[in-house]
Amino acid sequence: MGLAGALSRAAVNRLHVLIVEIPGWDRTRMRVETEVRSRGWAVSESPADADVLLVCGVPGADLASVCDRVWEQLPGPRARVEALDEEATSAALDEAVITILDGAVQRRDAVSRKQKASEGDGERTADPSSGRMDHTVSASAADTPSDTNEGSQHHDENPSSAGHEHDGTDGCEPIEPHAEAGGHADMDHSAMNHDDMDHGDMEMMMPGGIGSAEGGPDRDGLNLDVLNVPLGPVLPHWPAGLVIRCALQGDVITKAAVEILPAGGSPPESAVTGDGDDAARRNGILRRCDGIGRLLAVAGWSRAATMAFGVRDRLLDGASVQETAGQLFRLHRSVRRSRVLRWSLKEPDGVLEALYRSLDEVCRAAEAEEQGGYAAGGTLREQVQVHAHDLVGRLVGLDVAAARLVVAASVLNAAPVLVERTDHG
Amino acid sequence: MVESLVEVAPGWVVVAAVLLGLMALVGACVDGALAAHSDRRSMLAGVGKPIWETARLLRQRRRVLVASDPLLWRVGGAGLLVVALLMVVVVPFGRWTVADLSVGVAWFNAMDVMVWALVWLTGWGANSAHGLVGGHRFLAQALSYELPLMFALTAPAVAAGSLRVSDVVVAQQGLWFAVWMPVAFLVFCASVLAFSVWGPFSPAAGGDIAGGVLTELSSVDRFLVLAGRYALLAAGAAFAVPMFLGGGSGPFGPEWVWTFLKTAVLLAAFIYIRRLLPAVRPDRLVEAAWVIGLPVVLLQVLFVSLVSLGGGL
Amino acid sequence: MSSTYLSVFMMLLVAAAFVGGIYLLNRATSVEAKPIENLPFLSGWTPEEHALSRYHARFYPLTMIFLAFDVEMLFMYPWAVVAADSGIEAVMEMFIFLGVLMAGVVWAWREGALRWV
Repeated sequence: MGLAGALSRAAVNRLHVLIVEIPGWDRTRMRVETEVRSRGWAVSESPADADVLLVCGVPGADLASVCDRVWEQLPGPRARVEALDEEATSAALDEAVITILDGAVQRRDAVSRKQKASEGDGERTADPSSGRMDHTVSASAADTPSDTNEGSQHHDENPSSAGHEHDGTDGCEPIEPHAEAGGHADMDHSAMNHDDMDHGDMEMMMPGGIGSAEGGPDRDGLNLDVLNVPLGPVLPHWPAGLVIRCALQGDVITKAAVEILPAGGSPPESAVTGDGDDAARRNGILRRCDGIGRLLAVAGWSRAATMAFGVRDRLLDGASVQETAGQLFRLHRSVRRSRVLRWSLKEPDGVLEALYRSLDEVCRAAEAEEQGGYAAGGTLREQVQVHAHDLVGRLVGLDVAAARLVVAASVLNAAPVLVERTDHG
Repeated sequence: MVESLVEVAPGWVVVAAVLLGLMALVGACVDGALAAHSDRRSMLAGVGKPIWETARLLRQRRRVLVASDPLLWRVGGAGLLVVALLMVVVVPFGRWTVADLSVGVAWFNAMDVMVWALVWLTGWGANSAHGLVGGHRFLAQALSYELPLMFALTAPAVAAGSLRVSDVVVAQQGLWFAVWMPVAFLVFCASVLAFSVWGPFSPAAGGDIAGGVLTELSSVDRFLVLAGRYALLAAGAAFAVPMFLGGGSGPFGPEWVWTFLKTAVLLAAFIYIRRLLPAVRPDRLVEAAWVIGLPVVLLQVLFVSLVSLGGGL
Repeated sequence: MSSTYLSVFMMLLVAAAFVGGIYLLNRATSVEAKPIENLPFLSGWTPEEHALSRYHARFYPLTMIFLAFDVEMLFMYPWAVVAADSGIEAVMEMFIFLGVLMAGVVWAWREGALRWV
């Protein structure tokens, strides 16, 4: 008893938080990351490593079932909390601490939750509602203030959908998270129900009701097994709501189709527009820094990523661009100077250039700000819209590592920069 | 200063194991402090990280995955720590050594080759796509670092004319090997980082594939892998001391102090490098390792053997 | 001398004892001793097939070159012990051999065996 208590009290000094960002709630997600870091905790990279599942924002039906499935994968002790705006993050994390510390609640949760993923209701893979049932069991135990309001009615079947091809033709949505909210209900569902028609009766015999991989021709003329691996929406440093369904041979992407999962509500006002001109410009730089930091993190350079996130966090805390300019220039210098980064990012094409360009622009904007005239701040005006369809075309033939870099680099320039927002309507 | 080394009774392996554990713990504390520093918190606040992490993982529930291979998966995870412990049996501590094998250098090499299988099994055994990609990334990386590492290890052996670690220490009476075979020393250090899946050589556990070989690990299974990584770093640093840094020789005081100090400094450097450099993807590393790294190490060995022919430095 | 390998064996026992001990400790301290069975993490989706499959190891040609060098290491260790005593011939023979292997590497490099992308 004493030992268990001591362990849990020691453990809450360093909880690992798995963050799910809903499109539109990027500022909330950034605030959570800041908060997690200032507490000396860690952001986890997978549910196995997480104690806390924190959902930033109101998920749409698909994202909600994604969250439920991820929640099932937290080993426990576990806590599930949500934050709907920046102000709510600290309270959400405090709430998680209380849940984690409560031994009785955690015991009950561990006993009452589903013990075996392989047992039970044969339609697990196809029917999202089974995921929700599990969720209600665990929710009662582990204190989940979650939403169950928009789950089931959304999943009307779409019999005409036929898997990846369908996604491919629809996949020309620009990755511009705010525009997507609640937009396209039907295109997201093709993927939900296509896995039950591929394998036929074979999957009855396989453990866990999952088929084994089947061969397919390879770009090198070999016949090797194909794995269907979706990238996103829950993945470290990944754009919110984006799903790229990949067919992998080894770690090479041979097919890719894109979806964007919408939010289930609209984000708080300030996250979209900011208040006033000055805040909008700061927002633009802040989001750029976030994108740069995430690209650097995907490239595995934690020191530079931390520098970029440091600038971001200060802007988030309300510092002016002038105050952070020095930090920004230091980041710029060390990124442009790094030979290892240059060598390491020589492939795939365009990633390094995008990173340099973004950094240059951000620094120019900060310089203009320092000199007091924000007419020149218009360097951040161009709002590159990456069409998901084009993006997918670039991914086929790359390996996963390169594809991650390409995705991170594309949204780097697509990050909504709000300096001249009115120009774009 | 180090005239000869004494082999102590087998019971002392417990002490050797505890020392390695302490070293690994120190390494993890340093890492926590550096992490806290880069987050602009006080370094002291981060020192406790390994303690808290251990408490957290001990309280956590273990996971198995549908249709995974639990036996091989666990062998892979626990094996890293076992290998690190087996590495240090040939490392002299001051003037004492627990197992002065006549083939000590080859023994270290054999142990580090086991890491190939262990890291790969950790990724493969889970039956998870991310783990599988991570495990194969490690194999690709291993193909690049292993040969330079082997040749880097031969350089001191040639100079000493022996594969016995104590002979290598005695051969450095006049001048540390790190001084006149710097390439071999640097390649060795880089390889230690690589087989510990550390810093620039950690794409196998990269965030871009959700932790790679670590993706599905929780609880004590995860603890053993993370502890094994620190233990491998510590064992690598400890082995560099007799091979390249003159063993226990120092200007004054007892020899074990110097072994300890040198190991600690080198380990701290390893830990520090983690944040310093971007990750090097295996497909980028391979050309550099084979077309530049390998010939350069071979030239180093050639230089060392020619010098040894001439009676040494 | 015999105690040398006894020490190695003892270390193996110590390692096994530690691993076993920490698993036992975890049984006592974890919130639930029985492991939970999960599906693998796939960004929040369920897998369509088992991950264990014939993996496209693009570094396969490299493993062949590696093997050539690795077999060479068999000679390298015994050679290292006697090189200084055997004189210049031993050194020359070894490095001519290594030079031949290295020429093979350069050839393979030009053929693109070291590039996977």
